[in-house]
Amino acid sequence: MITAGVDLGSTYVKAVVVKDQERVGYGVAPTGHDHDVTSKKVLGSALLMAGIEFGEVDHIVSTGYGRRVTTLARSSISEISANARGVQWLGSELGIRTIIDIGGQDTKVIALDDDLQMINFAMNDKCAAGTGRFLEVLARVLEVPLDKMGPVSMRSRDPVDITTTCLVFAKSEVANLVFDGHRKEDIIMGIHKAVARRLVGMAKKVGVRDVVFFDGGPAMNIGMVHAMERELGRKMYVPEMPQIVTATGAAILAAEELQKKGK
Amino acid sequence: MENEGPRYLKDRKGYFPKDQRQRTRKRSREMEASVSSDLKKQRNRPGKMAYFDEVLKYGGMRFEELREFHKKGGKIVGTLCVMVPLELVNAAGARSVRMCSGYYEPVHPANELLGDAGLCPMVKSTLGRKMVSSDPLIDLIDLVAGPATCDGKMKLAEILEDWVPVVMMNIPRVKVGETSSDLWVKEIVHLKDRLEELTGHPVRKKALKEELSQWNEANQYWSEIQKLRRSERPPISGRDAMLVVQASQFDDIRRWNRKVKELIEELQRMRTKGIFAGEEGAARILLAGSPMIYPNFKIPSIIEGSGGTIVTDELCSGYRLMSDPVLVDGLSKKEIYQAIAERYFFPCSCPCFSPNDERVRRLKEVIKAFGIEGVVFHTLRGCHLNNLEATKIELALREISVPMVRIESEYDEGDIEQVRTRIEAFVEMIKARREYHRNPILEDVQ
Repeated sequence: MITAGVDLGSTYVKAVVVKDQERVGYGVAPTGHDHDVTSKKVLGSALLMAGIEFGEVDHIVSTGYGRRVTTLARSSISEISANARGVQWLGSELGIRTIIDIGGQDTKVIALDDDLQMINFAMNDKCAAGTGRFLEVLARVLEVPLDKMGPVSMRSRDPVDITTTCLVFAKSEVANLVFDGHRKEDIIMGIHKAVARRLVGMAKKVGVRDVVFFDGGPAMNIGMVHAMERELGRKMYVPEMPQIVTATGAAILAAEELQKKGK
Repeated sequence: MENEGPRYLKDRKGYFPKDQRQRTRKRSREMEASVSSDLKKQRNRPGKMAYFDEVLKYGGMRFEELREFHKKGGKIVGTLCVMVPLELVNAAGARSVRMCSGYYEPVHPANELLGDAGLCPMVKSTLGRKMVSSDPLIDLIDLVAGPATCDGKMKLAEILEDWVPVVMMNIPRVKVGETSSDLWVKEIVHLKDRLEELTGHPVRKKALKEELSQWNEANQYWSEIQKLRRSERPPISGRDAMLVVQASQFDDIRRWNRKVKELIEELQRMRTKGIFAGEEGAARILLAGSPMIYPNFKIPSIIEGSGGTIVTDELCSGYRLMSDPVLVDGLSKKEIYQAIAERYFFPCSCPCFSPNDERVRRLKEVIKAFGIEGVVFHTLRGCHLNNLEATKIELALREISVPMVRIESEYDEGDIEQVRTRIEAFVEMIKARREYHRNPILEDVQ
């Protein structure tokens, strides 16, 4: 059985192809202004990697911000359930009980029970504080490429205190810090700390249990991981490809849907 | 209190251009029409709902009736809270209408006056509606009765005095026995005096008792509906139930009683046929938190459009309007006022009260009785009291393993997709749990 999951996020589109429970291909690209074109392209590259033709795919499930508007999939699932499903697929031996996911415009904390079933979750309200967008915009203000934010921040010896997590205010706060002559690495580490504080606050409300799993694009940022672990006071498990866990979950769900129909 | 002219808006002339009023009216009418048309598209909707659609329609039949009544010299009293005894208003010969607004557009004129300081959108919309007369009904109101419950409602009542006379009612927020209820009885009697002054009719015992029996009858009908909603396959949607109960706040209660009776008969017929208002296998949701006044049915629509069905609520715009009859112990007028005061005070679990443990106790009871699988706790932005109590409630529900999701929203449609994601995930979570607990081997099969 071949299925695919397409995660149409606000900033990136991710696609995963699953064949008999194995992840055989994936693709990632910025969403751009036409998510339909992008998602087809991303799925295309995932299929190319897997060496599978589009016609061979039995079922596609969409997830993420654009899940309801895409023409690619016949059914959709919320990114929260898909993320939890992706973690279940990774395996119970990891012992994951808490998922922290930073997305482009949402951050989520999901609590799992001992059977890896979702028991609770929280999501930020309509505000960019503590999201991937927050990091992205501030990277632009600092003129540091997004993928260099992590390595640069690790050089920091004296991180600044960013007092606000409101993106609009943080932009001017960061601009002022630059004028005041603070080093870039200290400012960036300060930004990571501010995001981490906010997320950990949200996680505590949901209830934090070991092992904590960290995914979403910003989990690729070493400085962000570092700040989160300090704030949480514990180590986290970061998967190899944190961006595509949710898309994988959607692909697995697609397979389940087919199985149920077949019964 | 002596009113020395407007305090909040001195220069009323020219503050709001004419086209702003027209725009606000147009958008309000359009919003109501669109919400109403969505409600009419619900599956298996009882035919008898058409009447209630009409009562709440923007500029509909009920408005025409009230305008006629007003033209002939009748007085109309606007109420700002579920704690105003409508029996009393009607016994004084006036008609009552709930003033709290669920329209989105009037938020903007209020923002112009007050600034967007994270204030409650319902308060702002209610004020904005009066400021630009965006609703034809609003200008018929001769007197406003506003209990000083939360900060928003209290100041709303005060600001409204710039436009219309207001009876501010001092609701005792510390709820401890007789000292509190004594004050509330006095406030109820004070309202009665103001009503008599307004209409020129004394409130006679006979008329009051007649009104009480009508409203008690309405309570009984509502509990019939609640009984139907408790069944495994409720024949009425949560939105329709809210619509019915909110219509009582505008309608002639005698006619409302007749129409609800007809609706109940239809619902009972539907139930024997096994007709279900929700999607098959829908998650049984209880809606809690801040009030949701028609046409602000954003959250309920998302819930019922995402595989959930609202089987009951704990809102002052829902169940609270019609629960607990007034139980009069004696024959004297004093005892009647005492009974009214008690009905409107003690069972009310508005978060403006402290202590308010009654709320959690009742919530747990209702969850059990209605087979609730999950609670959606909705707060309007700036509803501090509900936000403050949410954590306590969430923790109490965790003890009985009932999941709760918190949603904060405003009066606009900008957050629909984000709210939908949360609600969908919540419903998926409930359904997955169900499946998982029923068939624990499912995971191994794959």
